[in-house]
Amino acid sequence: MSPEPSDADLSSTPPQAFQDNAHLVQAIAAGDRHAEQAFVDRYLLPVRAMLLARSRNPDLALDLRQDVMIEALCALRAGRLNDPEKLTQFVIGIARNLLNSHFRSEHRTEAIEAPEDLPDLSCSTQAVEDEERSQRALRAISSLDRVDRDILLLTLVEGLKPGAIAERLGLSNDVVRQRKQRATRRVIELVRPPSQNQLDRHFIVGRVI
Amino acid sequence: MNHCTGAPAGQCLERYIQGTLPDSEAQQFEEHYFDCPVCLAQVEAIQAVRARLGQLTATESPVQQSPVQQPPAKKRAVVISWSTAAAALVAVAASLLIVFLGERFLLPRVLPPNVTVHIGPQTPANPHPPATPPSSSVTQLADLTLPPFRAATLRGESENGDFNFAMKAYSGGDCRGALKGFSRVPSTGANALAAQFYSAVCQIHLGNLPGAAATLQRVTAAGDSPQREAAFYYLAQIALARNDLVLAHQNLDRTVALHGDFEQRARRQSAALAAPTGEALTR
Repeated sequence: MSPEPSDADLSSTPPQAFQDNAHLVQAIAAGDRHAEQAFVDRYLLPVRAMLLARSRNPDLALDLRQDVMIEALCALRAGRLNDPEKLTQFVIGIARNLLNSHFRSEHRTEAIEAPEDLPDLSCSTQAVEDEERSQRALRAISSLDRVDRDILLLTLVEGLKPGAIAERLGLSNDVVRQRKQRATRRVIELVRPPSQNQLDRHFIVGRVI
Repeated sequence: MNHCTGAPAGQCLERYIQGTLPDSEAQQFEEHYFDCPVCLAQVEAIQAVRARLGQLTATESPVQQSPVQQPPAKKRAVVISWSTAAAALVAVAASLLIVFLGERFLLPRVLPPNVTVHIGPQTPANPHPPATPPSSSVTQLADLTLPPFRAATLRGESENGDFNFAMKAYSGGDCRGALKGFSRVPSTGANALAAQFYSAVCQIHLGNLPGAAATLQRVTAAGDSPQREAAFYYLAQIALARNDLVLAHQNLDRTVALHGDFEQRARRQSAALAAPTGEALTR
């Protein structure tokens, strides 16, 4: 196991160094802490998004994402992933299993035993980014007109289909669909980070889509 | 390079967030956005909007609720007297006016963090005045969001390892991890009061309001400290959540009296509590 890297060491590590799945998996199995941090940086946010989408419980998503990271890292350290190209599916599988276990037992009775030498799983800048995103969401919502906001609310929060929304608001199905589509596009444009508007700047790690 | 234009998210994002996407398609979409920052940003964006909309509707739904969700309200509406209904209509009209003005002039501005925004009833489809008692409006005023951590670096600080560890967890939104860390902070150290305050906030976040109130009272009882004003403010929020108006007013007044960062928020809440309908806290 290589010594724990300092913050300066980690920040100087180029993120592209572990773009390749095979290299990343191999480096984690060899005890490379930089590779572990790169793995956490790459998967922490999508894992949380997935857990939140499937559980609709932000606290649970925060709680379980660490367990997912720990379990995935322990498995990778032990060299239990045979096909590095399936790294993403491997992480998703762990997340899904932990979530299912949680729901099966309603509450978790046994905590995952975490090794002491884990990389930073807290993602300290994330709280700030979350807060900023939340503020942008509020501004995006308040920029919508009342009917569009009602349609989004009934769709996203109450889970109603356009027909039911149309009936409730006294509109036609087509109008609801069109307004919903337009409002969804608008809020996404306003909420996602400005850098996301320049799509060609984003490189993808791990695989080609 | 990722040349994704966000089309996969455009096709299935809404059904994915609603949980109505077939499992095989949901898995396929997850495998995509795990490696696609463009689509991941869309998922996170819509999740943030959903969370905010949920907060707004938790205060007062802008549209008529389904009968399954609000049968007691409808039953109460039948038995209220004509004069009560008329008074409620006037109150709703007033709140609609305030909401309209608030939306028009206040909401588009940049809001400070951790301000709970309540938007009042806005439904053209709901002909009935809300039969919700004022007390529930009061409890909905409670601002139980996590305050941001402000590090106060003092010269000569050397024994703050556990505290820093806990605050790192706190900043990452991991309240359970933070609580464990705070419990290890020495009770006589320089960070003892800060640890108590933030552990109380974590308790609030985890739903343990009695425990949080007890911890916050210890912080306020310790005398002048950087956390004292915030402790009064959150004691007021807990009182609001418990519908204890007297205690809420007391703690809001104490917050205001310290003239700190929470003064304006406390003043706005006091004003909202004093308003006839107990609502209209638009900022």
